[in-house]
Amino acid sequence: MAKDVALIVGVGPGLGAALARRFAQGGLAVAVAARRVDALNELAREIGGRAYACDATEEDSVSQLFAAVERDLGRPTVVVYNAGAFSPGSVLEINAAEFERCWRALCLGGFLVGQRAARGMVEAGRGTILLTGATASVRGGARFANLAVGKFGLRALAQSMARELGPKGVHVAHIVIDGQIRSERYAELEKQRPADGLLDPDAIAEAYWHLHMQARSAWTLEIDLRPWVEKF
Amino acid sequence: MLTDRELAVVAGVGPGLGTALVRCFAQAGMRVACVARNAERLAVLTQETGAQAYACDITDENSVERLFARLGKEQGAPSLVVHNPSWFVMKPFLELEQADVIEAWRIACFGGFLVGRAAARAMLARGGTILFTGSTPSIKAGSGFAAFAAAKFGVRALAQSMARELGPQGIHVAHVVVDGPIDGAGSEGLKIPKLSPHDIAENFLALHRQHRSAWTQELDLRPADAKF
Repeated sequence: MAKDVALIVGVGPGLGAALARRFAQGGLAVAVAARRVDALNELAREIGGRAYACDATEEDSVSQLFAAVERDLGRPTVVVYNAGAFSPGSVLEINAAEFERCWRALCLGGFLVGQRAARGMVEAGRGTILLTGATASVRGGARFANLAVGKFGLRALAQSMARELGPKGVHVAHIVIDGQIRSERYAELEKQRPADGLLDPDAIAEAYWHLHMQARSAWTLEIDLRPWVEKF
Repeated sequence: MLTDRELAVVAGVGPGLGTALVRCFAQAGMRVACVARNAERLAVLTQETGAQAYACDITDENSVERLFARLGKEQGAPSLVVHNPSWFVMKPFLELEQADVIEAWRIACFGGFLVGRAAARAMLARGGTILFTGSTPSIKAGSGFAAFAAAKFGVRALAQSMARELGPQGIHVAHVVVDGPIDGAGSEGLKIPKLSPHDIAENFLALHRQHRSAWTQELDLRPADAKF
């Protein structure tokens, strides 16, 4: 029997890579996508998957991505939207072009990928769509307008999709990552905290995997994740 | 009898979710203590799962303190405690009696406080997980649900506050919103999609197993075809 297929859109070295590894470890064939494919080839080799270039904010590019994945690996059973863009700044200073660019990457891309994924899954009568959220999905912090607007929108999309697609066999869930993910960028912060004080990408990936594995009589729409020492 | 196997305590073991939690934790290799007002009622379940039954009135401070003292002596510190009991009341608001409001609150909320506090004290040295069972009225107070929802809102508040205070002390506190009727637990007449108690229990276990770098405070669960 052919393997189930997972497609992760928005793959960097952190969470995206951890998700790809977790789903590969779970026995799925994994497709990873990002705007620039060269950074993904090594990961794809490591997990025996395939890497694709895609601009998730362009409908044609998303269509081409799905067509290529379906041709190479098969129709995805799990699709994760993990892409985004953000530049912090005072609401007095941020400009319209940047405001729109962030929204397109955070929200419009989630719609384009989610819709294309859902069409195939509804036809198959099963599938899981997982959307990556953040603290800014539920809280519009000072200087975070560029992020919060897109992330709130993605959360609304997840809720609406879940209510419509659940009865059609498609599990849509939104993951609120409420803290910083361990990475080079937060190395200094990590040193100031006790062990496991920042979110471990592998631990987050485990939660995504659990959501995918949930039995259909008990599906989760939203899960929050944060380190044990996080103030919230 | 002290062993390396983890100890799970399930307070409020009725025929529905409580029983499924006991089975799930036992199957996962944990020692399980099941707590109910009437421990004899649990004989079949304890025989089936190897769990031990303890009698306790979870709305009575002394009874809860005695329970955890006895557990500590006989079994050691628990690494997982679930507070599952509730007292269901659904009545037109104008017909609610004082006893309805007090009983609903005492069992779900006050009992949750007593069990949660005793559990947290027992877990301080080595950490652990405390899980509260919530339901739709934990977040939405429908018509006829004033007494029940007020109690369940209270449990949710308790869980949030405990999580923020106890997380940094190594204790994972989470609230599970079971957003629909549970199959078999007196829900036979309802013609809407139901949650399997077994499937719910798997999620309690997953919360317990979360790595501390990525803990969940609240998890919602409902059937795929539920309206919500």
